[in-house]
Amino acid sequence: MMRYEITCTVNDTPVKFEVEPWDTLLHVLRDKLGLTGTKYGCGTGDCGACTVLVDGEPYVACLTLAVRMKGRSIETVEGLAKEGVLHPLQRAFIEYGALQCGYCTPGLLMAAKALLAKNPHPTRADVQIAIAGNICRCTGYKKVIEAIQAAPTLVG
Amino acid sequence: MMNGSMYFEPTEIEEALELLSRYGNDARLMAGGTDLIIDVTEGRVAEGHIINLMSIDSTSKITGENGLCIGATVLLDSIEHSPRIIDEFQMLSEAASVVGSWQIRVLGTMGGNMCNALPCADTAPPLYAADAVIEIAGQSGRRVVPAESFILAPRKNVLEPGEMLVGFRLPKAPRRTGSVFVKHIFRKALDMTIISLAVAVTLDARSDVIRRARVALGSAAPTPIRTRQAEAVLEGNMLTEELAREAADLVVGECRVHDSPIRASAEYRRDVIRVLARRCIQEAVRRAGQHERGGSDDEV
Amino acid sequence: MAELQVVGNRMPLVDSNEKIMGTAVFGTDIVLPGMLHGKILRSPHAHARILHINTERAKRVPGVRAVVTAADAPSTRFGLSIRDERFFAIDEAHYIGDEVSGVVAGDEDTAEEASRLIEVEYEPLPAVFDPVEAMKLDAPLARGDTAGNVCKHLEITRGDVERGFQDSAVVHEELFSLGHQYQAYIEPIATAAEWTNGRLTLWAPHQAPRTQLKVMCEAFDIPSGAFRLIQTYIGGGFGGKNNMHLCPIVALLAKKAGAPVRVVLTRAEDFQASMPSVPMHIRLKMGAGDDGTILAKDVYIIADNGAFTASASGVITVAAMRVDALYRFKNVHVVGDLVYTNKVSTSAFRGFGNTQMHFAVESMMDTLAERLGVDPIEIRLRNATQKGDVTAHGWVIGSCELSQAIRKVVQVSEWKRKRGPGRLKGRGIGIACGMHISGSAAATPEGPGSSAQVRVHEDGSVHIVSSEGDIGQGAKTVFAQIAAEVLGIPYENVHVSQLDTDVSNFGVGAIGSHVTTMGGHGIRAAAVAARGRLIQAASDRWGCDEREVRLIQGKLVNSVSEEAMEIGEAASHYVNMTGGSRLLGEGQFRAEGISAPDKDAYGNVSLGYSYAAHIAEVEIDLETGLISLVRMVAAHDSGQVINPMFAEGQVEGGILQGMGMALSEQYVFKDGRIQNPNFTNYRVPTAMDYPEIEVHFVGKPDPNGPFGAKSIAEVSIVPVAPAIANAVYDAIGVRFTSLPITPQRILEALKAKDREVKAAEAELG
Repeated sequence: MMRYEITCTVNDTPVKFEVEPWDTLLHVLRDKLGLTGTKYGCGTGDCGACTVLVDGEPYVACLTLAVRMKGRSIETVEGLAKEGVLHPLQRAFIEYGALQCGYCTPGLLMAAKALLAKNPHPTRADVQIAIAGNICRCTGYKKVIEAIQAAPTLVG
Repeated sequence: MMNGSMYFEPTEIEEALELLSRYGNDARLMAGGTDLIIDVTEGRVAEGHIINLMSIDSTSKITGENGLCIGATVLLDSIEHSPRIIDEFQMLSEAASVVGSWQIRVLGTMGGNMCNALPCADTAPPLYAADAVIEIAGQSGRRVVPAESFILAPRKNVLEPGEMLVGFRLPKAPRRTGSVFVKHIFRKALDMTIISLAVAVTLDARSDVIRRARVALGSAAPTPIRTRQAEAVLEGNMLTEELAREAADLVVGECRVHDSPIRASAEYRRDVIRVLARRCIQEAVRRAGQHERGGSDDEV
Repeated sequence: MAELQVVGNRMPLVDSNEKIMGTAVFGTDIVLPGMLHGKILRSPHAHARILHINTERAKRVPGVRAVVTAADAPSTRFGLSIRDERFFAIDEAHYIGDEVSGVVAGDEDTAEEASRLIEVEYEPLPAVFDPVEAMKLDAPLARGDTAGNVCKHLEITRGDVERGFQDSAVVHEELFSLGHQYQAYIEPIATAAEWTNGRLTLWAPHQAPRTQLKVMCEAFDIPSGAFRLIQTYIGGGFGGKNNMHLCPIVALLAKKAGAPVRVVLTRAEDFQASMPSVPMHIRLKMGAGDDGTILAKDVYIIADNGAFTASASGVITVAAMRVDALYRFKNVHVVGDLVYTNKVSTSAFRGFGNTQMHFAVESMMDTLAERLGVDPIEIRLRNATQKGDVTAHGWVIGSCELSQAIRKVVQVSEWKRKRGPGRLKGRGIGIACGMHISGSAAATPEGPGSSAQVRVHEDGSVHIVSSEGDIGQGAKTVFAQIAAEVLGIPYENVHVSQLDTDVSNFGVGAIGSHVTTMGGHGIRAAAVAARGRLIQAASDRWGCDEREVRLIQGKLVNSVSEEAMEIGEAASHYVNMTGGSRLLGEGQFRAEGISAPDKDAYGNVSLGYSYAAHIAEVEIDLETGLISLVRMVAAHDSGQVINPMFAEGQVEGGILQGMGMALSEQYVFKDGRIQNPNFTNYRVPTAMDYPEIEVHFVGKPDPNGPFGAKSIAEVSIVPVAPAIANAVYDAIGVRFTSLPITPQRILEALKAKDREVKAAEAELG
């Protein structure tokens, strides 16, 4: 099996790994790099639990080949807090009770971060469209939507 | 698991074609990969040599002076948000906006959507309704086929071995054109399409007579289809409630729906087609009518 | 009672940080040194004899450590109630997905590859898929090891049903059908197992560790207490993780491989081989007097057990009985049959059978109301259970604000206006009520209660060692709030340990709505005990009488000398004065006055009973049948709400899950095979489907709950589907007696109605 050495950054840290062509980014993050914050939910891009940012875009890592990540900048949930200081989205989720079991939370946070970067003051409908691909079974989405809309006000 | 799968990232179409020819049946052209990776994971397709098309510059752009050229590897997200597409081919932006989820749209491409050749390909109806043509590249050069002829059967497209889809050309629509796309699903997101419809209508420059009508559907037959009888009954007439209903009935007649226990019954699909065709025709005419009258029919 | 400082407040989750940073370790995240991976080979046949299994080719794949079948396992039978499970299929596979063999290898791909090389010779047998068909005399046996397909029959009678019907002004009978609902937790089922010196440790996202261990000990035929289960974070359970058939299998794989093994089900596997809700046909007949009082209720339930029982035996009993605490039913008769079929095993799903029966009863209340010419609100108020009632089954209702909940939602939703003239076509509004137990004795027949430990550390931090765990619903948070309240300390200083059965006491876990009510009592008792020890330590330190020492706002105070001491200091002193003991409060709560139902199914079963009323508003496109749930107004009586933010969260989540049950979720079967084992075709509500939701709490403190609290997590789903079905009836005059109510069914019903109307007109004309 051909192996390819890929260099990229994960959460602002240069990273190098060796993969076979069909290895997914999800597998690399979780099993090679030990970053298990990004979750396996379905493996077919239907649930969004594996959402990570690749150059700021929300990718489902289960359908992203690791070998295509050369030179790309990947962000996972582990990179949101900086030196222990939570990202405003993380603070908002906690304050608004937007997480219960926490399994879909990393994927939701990354999709929300991508949304707020493009649209700092999303309407409720904007949020719903942005996170339509993130299935949550616990919260009923209400507090998630509220938290995402509130996060920009928590900056600083 | 295949031994020795390799990965390639060509930057030119010719490079991709060369790889395609070299590896034949073991070559796997990949744009977004969202369909292909699932096919491999679920065992429908064997692993093979991956030819990642996303580094080819010439297929990644939306260009064109007179009409639009959309490269095969333009992301669905880009198609959704392209100001030119929103302005000139609103139905295509609308279709791109409802494929899967945001996560799928930033990975997936229209080239991939069409090559997958499913009857529910959401980008197909607007391409058909835009009279689009598809540019194909092969070892022996380029050829062009009407978008309508590209999909032959579920999961079967017109590409010969050694060929790849490189782009879409949409002729410029006359000024007084309005278009709309609708995707009918039970939840408000993520479902596989039960019925989709694209309607494009061009009104006369100076009156509200329908000069040209295009009606195309997805998930209404084994492949996406255009419904020409319905188009014919609209062209040359002004739209009335009665005419819209008549056209909608013709649309239903041209569809070949079947029962799907997971999605919907054939009868339900016919009922919905009748309603949505009428509504879409009315909406397309309304949007066309928003362009002021005046000038000549040759104006674009 | 002094004003509450922490209980009753919107505190963030006590484990917020781990979850928000992505460091919480779920079952799918467990990594152990030297860990191998397992894959399971499953039967492709719904019913088949297994003639021969050849594992030779699989064993020879490089990297394979073990290939295991029933031949390598104890031939024991085990199960939660009926012992009808075994490790792997022995000589018969009972459903498509039944575990036939397992492979252990260095990585998942190798294990998968090897599993495809296992050769199994099957002899297909006649299969039965419909429980009604399965009950016929000439039906094939779903399982060759049973005498018949009916594995449980129940019958309960109270009062005089015949007389009740005779006295009724209106009698109505209807057949309701509920299908499978998949819990759709986002974390698939996973388990890791390791044997050390002959002792097993399991890591699993399991709702009820102790119950699983009991089953495991039965399975391996060794004494109870021999095994250990460490509860990981759980990515959703909803009942589907209260009994994991994967646990004994992975334990066996680890034993045979001589190494730790982890198995994570793929999502498709989880759909096919977990345990969705119990489908039921419910023939319901109710009679009402002309003032709307329900005078009689007769029920016949046929429940689809699938291939194995698990909790389904309890589910059908709950379906039969629990709803009788909703209204003042006096005359009831219920018969139920739980039937094996060759399909996926069915078991516990939020609501545990009560959800299914409420759909039937609450739908019928509207029908009776209409036939009597009574408002759906009035008929419910007339029959509503009240505080102090003793129900037909002897349940003692310590607190009940059902009537208040009804009035609240009527007011907030503007019910009267929306039912009046001038309403838009296709819009409908409907109400349904619900109730559920709160601390059920049926979950712990040997002695209902809960035990916990609260430790105070020398740095002043407080650590809860709970036996009840947390399935993601916020149990730890509730416990931390209770402990902080009792000890008068900041909530931020409380930590709750991971549930490790070697360390904690024995708990029930998240079943029978046990956790807040009974678990909360256990925590409170432990915190009180810890407080006692703190006072003991401080008084020893000060050389004074214990009665002079108080714990006020987290500080120990000598009321005579006015000296004060931090609790950490007292904890330190305790270590010294006892020769090294941690300051530990051991709390035991034994529930009085409740017990699992006796042989006559009579007796108070639960500490408390929670109530709710939901009003749903729907909007239907009359031409396409597309239906939107526009708004849901919910009022809940859960006594004293311990954490309103997360109690709301339970209701909001329950509403979305109930919405899925009502409108879009169903397994599509063909010859016993699930046709839609993925999230594209099994339609779980997305953020785009989210309706407006308003939640109100109307409860008063319950005399039996900790701080007066009652449950909320299960009752929150119970009224949702019938409220929606009643709203649909209000919108289009069509009564749906089975779910989901899809746009296709709506349109079909509208067309049928239209034809009927035209036919009637033609006759007249």
